[in-house]
Amino acid sequence: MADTLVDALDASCVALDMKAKRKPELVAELVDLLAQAGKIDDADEVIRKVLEREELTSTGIGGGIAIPHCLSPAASQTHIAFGRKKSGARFDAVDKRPVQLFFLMVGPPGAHNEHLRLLSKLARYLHDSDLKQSLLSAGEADEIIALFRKREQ
Amino acid sequence: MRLIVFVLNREELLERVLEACVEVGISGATILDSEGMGRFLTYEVPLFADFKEFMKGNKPYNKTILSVVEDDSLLPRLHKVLDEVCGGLSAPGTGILFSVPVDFATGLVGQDEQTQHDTVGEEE
Repeated sequence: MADTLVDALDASCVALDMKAKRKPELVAELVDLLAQAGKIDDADEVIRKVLEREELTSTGIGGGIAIPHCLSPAASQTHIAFGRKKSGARFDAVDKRPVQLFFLMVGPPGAHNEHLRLLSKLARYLHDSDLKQSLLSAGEADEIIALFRKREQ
Repeated sequence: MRLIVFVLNREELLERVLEACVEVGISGATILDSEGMGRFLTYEVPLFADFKEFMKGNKPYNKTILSVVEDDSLLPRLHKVLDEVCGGLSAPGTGILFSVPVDFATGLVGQDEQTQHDTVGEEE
């Protein structure tokens, strides 16, 4: 069980220069980070569920941030992948602006409480413009982890 | 002196709940239209839109009844009657009853300004 964002976010699941430009590819690139790190065992299933969730309403919460997420049996615990695209990409965000910071959160079915807790915490932290700026300027994956570690202390 | 707060999830029982209040001796209360956190999050905050199913047991809207009472002994009587009216408050989705001590109140119907100190030693 992931109690903190740092528990759920591994440096191997951080991409500081995402290549994808459209929503389905952006999601696939984020999911691939988790799959390559061995955090999930069925990438296609996760992509399908995340995009299905996006059809409900976009998880682009505004301010250049999106937090696509889903619960899936492909994950045995909650994992987060972080992707950054400095030039921004369309993600149907609520403010209609391009998204630069992407957080993909995948948890196992039934882990609603843990998922909601981490989702809320992440959304709350990301209201902090200093943290957002630091995430945009970080040069290494470890810096991203360190930023959240510091924030959660 | 206590502030009694009752969040009534089954709004259709409001009339019977207010009758119960009067029955135990509460002659004045304020009724607020209120809304559950689950409804607001899942319907008004896009990030949480997919948790509607998870929040399904919660009632979207409710009534919140506030009343300041001088007689603390009203509370257990009210609890008993509300349990009867609502079918047991321990069941999920019925309501939440709690009270907190009040050390000052003014403007209550039919009484002068009071502090907790004023009422110590007074008989009902």
